[in-house]
Amino acid sequence: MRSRRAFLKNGALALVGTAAIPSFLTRAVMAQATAASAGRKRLVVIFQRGAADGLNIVVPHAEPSYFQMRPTIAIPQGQVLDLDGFFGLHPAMASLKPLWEQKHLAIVHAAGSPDMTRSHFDAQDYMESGTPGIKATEDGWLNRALQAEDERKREAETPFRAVALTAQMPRTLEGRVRALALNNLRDFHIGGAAAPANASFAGSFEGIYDESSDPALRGAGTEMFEAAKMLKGTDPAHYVPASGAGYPKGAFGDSMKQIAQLLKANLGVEAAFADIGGWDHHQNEGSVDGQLAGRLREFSDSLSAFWTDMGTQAENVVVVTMSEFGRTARENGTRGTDHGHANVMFVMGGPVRGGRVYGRWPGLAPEQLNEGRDLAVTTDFRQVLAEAAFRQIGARDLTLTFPGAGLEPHKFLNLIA
Amino acid sequence: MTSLFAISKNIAGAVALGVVCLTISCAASAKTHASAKPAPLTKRERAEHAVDRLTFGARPGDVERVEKIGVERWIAQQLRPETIDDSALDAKLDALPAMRLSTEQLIWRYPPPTIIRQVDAGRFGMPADPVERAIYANALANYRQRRDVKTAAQTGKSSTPNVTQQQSIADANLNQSLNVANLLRMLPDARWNGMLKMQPGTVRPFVQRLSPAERQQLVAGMTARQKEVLLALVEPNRVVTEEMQEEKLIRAVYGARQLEEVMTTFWSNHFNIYLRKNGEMPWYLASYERDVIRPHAMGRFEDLLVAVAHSPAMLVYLDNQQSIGPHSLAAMRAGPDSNQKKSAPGLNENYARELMELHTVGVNGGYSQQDVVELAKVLTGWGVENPQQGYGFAFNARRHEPGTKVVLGHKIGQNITRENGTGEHGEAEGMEVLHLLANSPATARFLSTKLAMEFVSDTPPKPLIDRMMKTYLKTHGDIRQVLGTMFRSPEFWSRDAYRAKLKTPLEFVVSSLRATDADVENATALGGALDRLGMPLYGVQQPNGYSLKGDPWLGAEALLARMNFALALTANRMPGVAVAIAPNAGTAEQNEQQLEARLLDGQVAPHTHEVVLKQMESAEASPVMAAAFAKGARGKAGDPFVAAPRGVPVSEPALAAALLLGSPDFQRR
Repeated sequence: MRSRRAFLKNGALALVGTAAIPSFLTRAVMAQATAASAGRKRLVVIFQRGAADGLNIVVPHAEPSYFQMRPTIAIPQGQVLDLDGFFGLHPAMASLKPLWEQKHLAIVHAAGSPDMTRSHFDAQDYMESGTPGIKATEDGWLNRALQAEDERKREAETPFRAVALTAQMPRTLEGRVRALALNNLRDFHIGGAAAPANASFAGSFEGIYDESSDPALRGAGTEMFEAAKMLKGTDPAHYVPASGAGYPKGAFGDSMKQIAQLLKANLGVEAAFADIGGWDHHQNEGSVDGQLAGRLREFSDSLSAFWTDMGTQAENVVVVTMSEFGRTARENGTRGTDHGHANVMFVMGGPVRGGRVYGRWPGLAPEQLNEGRDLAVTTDFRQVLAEAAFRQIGARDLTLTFPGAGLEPHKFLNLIA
Repeated sequence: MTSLFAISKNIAGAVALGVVCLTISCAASAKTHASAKPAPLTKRERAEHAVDRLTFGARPGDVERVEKIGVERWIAQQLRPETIDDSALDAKLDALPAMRLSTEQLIWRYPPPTIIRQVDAGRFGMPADPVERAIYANALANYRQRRDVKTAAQTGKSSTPNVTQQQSIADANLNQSLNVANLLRMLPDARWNGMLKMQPGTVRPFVQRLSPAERQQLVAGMTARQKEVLLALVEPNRVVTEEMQEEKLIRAVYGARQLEEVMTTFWSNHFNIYLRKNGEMPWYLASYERDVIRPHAMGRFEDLLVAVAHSPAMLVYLDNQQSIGPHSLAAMRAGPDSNQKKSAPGLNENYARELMELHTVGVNGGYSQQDVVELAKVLTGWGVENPQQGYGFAFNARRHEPGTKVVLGHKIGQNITRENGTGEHGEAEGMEVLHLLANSPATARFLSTKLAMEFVSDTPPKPLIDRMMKTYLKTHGDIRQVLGTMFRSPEFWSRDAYRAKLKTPLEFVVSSLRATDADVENATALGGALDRLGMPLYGVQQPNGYSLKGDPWLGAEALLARMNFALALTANRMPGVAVAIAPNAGTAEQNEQQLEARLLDGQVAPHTHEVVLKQMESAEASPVMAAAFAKGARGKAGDPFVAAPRGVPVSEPALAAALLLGSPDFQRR
C-alpha cells in the first residue's frame, strides 16, 4: 500500500519540507497537487449525541395517535412544515425546507439499530462501531469504509483524508486508516491560540520529530506537521464563507464551517465527522418552542449554511446524520420523553434523491409500537450508512464495513445517485 | 555504591551524551538482532525505570535519590503507602476545603442545579446560615434570570422587563455601595463580607465585568474557604467540578505516596465514571476517589469491588439505581394500576453487564446474556437513598426481584440465611456474586493483564501474566502482592519494557510539572489543559475508561497540544502555575545539558540534543511569543480569579526546555 508520507515527500508537495515558504507558494503547489481531487465525492457524517426525538423532528402529523400520545409537546397541525401530506418538519427546521423542495434532502424515518439497548453509551458505541451488540469491535465503521475503498480508484492520500472536527478521535473514525482529530483549524500550529511561534522554533520541533528514533512518535509528529503546513497554506484564520452562508454561533456551526473550509481548500478530505450534543430531553422538551426547538434551529441552520457555503461544490458532497436511538412515542410525566428505539436520519447533498421520506412507516398505534412504547425500527441504520459509504467513498466491500449485517447493494434504498 | 553514585553525578554533566548513545544503540541492536541478548538495565536505568513506572514522573534529583536508597527498598516503601509521610501534600490540599466535605454536606453547602430548582419550586427552604443563604440566593437569582432569558428567546421577545430589571439592579449596585475601587481597597474580610451582602444575582455580572487584575485583587489575602465561597456566589457547580479536578492533579504532582496515587488513577479508570452523567454526578465523584477507590487501591480487590458496588456514583452512573425487579413489590404496586403501561418498571441490565464485562471477568470471561439478566435480578434494590440530597447507599427490598437466580452456574443464596421469613436473601445475594466474581480465575487474568499493560508494556508477556494471576488467586486478590510479583519479575526489568510506555496526557502534564518543579497555586487551568490534550478528567462517557495503550493518544491535535503545553508551561503562561527555568549561566552547551539533566535525568536522544542545542545557540531575530494555554480561547477560561499572564517573549532556556518537554523523548516513561 502506498503511504501518504511517500506521496507527500516525493510528489509535488515535497516543497513543504522546508519550514518557511511563503504561503502563496504553498497554496499554488497544493492547488496543483490536489486539483485532481477537487471533483471527487465526499462524505460528511454527523452524530446527534443524546438520542434526538425523531417524532418531533420529522412529525407524522397525519397520525391521530401522535397528538394523543403527546398532549403538551406535539407540534400542532398548523405549525408543522408539511412535506408530503403525512410527514412534516419541526418549524425550527425551516432553513432546511428549501433543500427538500430542491430534492437535495432525503429523510429515512423509523431507522435504527437491531440492538434493543436503551443505554446512550452502548447505543452510541454500537452505532459508531457499526456492529450492534458486539462490544469487542475495536474500530469504527467509517474507518473500515475507508479501508474498504477500492484501491485502484483511490486518490492520493493526504493527512486530511479522514478528519473529525472533535477534540478526541471519535469511535466512528478509530482504526487502521490514520485520521486527524482537530476542532480548531485556526490554532493548529506551534504557539497556540494567540499567534504562531516563529518558523525557526516551530522548525526545531519538527526537526526533533522528523528524525526521532521512536517510530510511533516520528510517524504521528511528521503527519501532524504536514497537516499543519497544508492547513497554513489555506490561511485558516481568514476564512470567509460564501455570501449568504450564515453559520449560527456555537460549536456545531463552527464544525460545519470548518468542514466547508477544509473541503473547499481541496486538502484531500474524503470523509469528515462532526457531532452535536444536547438532545436528551427527559423533561420540558418543548413543542414549537423550547429546548428541542433550540437544538434543531442550530442543527438546521448549520447544515443549511454549509450547503450555501459549499455552492457548486456541494454537488459532490453527501451529509448523513444519525442519533443513537429515538425517544418514547408518549410524552412522560415531566413533559419530556424517555429513551426509545427508532429514529430519523437525514441524507443531504448534490447526488441525493431528495424530496422523499424513505423507509416503511411502522405506525404509532399501540400494537404497532416497539415493546408498547417506542417507534419500531423498519430500516437498519447500517443500510443507510453502507449506501452512503458505497457511493461516496467507494467502499464496495460491505462485509468489511459492516460485518455480519447481511447487506447487499441491490437492497439499498437508492437514496443517492 | 560510592563509585556508581559518582558516575551518576557525572551523567548530569558532560558524560550524558556518551551514556545516551550507549542506550540507544543497545535498544537498536536489541531490535535488529533478535538473537543477540539485549544488555540488562544499568543500575541508573533501573532507578529511572522504577521512578517512571511507580510515580507520575521524576522530579529533579529523584532518580539519583532512588538509586542511593536502593531501588528494591524504595519500591518496598511505595508498596506500603501508609508508612510514608504525606503532610506536605495535606498542607497543599488545605487550599481545597470543599473536598473534605461528605457528599451530603457538599450538596447542602454548594447546591447542584436540581436543589436550586427545588428551592425555586418551594419544595426546599433556604438555609439559615448566612453564608449558605447568600450562596443559595445567588444561585436562585442566576437560575431565574437564565430561565427568563430563555423564555424571552422562546417567546420571541428580545428582552423581558425582568432581565432589564436585573441589569439595572446590577448597575445600581456598581454605582452605589460597591464602587470597585472602594471595594478593592478594603481589607480581605470586609471585601468578602461586602460580596456576600450584594444583591443576589449581581455577584456574577459584577465579577465578570472586572478586569483580570481586579479579580485577583478582589480575592487577594482571602482564606481558601473565603475564595471558595466567592466562586460559589458566581457558580456553585464550579467549586465542586474544579476543586475535584484540582485535587487529583495536586495529589499526583505533590503526593509522596506516588504508587498509591498511580494505582488510584488506574482503578478510577478501571471503574470509570462520567462527570456529566447527570447534574449531581460531580458531587458524587468528589467522594468516589477519596472514600471508595483510594482506601482500597492497594488492598484486596474484593473490598474495592464491594465498595464500588455500594457507591452512589457507580449505582447512578450505570443505572442500577433505576433497576426494578419485574416481580418485586414495587413493580406489582405500579403495574396493575395502569393498562397504559406508561413505562413498565423493569430491569436495567447496564451495571450487571459492565460488572462482568469491564470490572471483573472481562468480555471473554465466560458469561452469557442469561447471566447478565440473572445478575441484574440479583442486584435489584441496590440503590441510593434520596440521591438528590446525597444520602448514601440503600438496599430497597421492595424493588428486589424475588426467586432463585443462577449466575455463572452458581445457584445464589443456598448458603445464606433467609431474611425474616420472606424467603428472600436481599442484599446478601449481591455480596455472594461479588465474592464469586472477585475470586474467579477469569478476573485474576483480566486484572493481571491490565496491570501489566499499565506497568510493563502495551503487549505484556504471557508468562508474566500467568505468574501474576497465580499470586492473585493464592492471595485472594491482594493487589499489593500482585504488584510485588510484577515488580520482581525479569519482564518488568527487561530492556524491552524500558521507556516502552507512551505517557497519557495526564502523565505528560503531571510529569512536566514534576520535572520543572512547578509551583501549582491553582490547578484549574491544568484541568482545562487536559481537555485540550484529549484527556478530560472524568470525561469518558463510556464505562470502559481511557485506553491503556499508546496509540489513541497520538492524534494530531493532541500531539500538537503537548508541544504547545510545554511551551506555555516553560514560558510561564499557564494560569496559576509558576516554573523557574534557570537563566543562561554558562555556554549554550552547558545550559542545554543542565536542562537535560533536570528534566530527563540526561536521557535524551543525540538527535534531540543537537536540535535543542542549535535552538539555544541561534540568536533569535524575532522573539517567540507564547500563548496562554487555558481552556478554550473564550468563555470558560478556567478560574475567574486566576489571570492568564500576558504574552511575553520567551527566554532561550525556556524555549529549550519547551523543546525537551515536547520532544518524543519526554513522551515515554
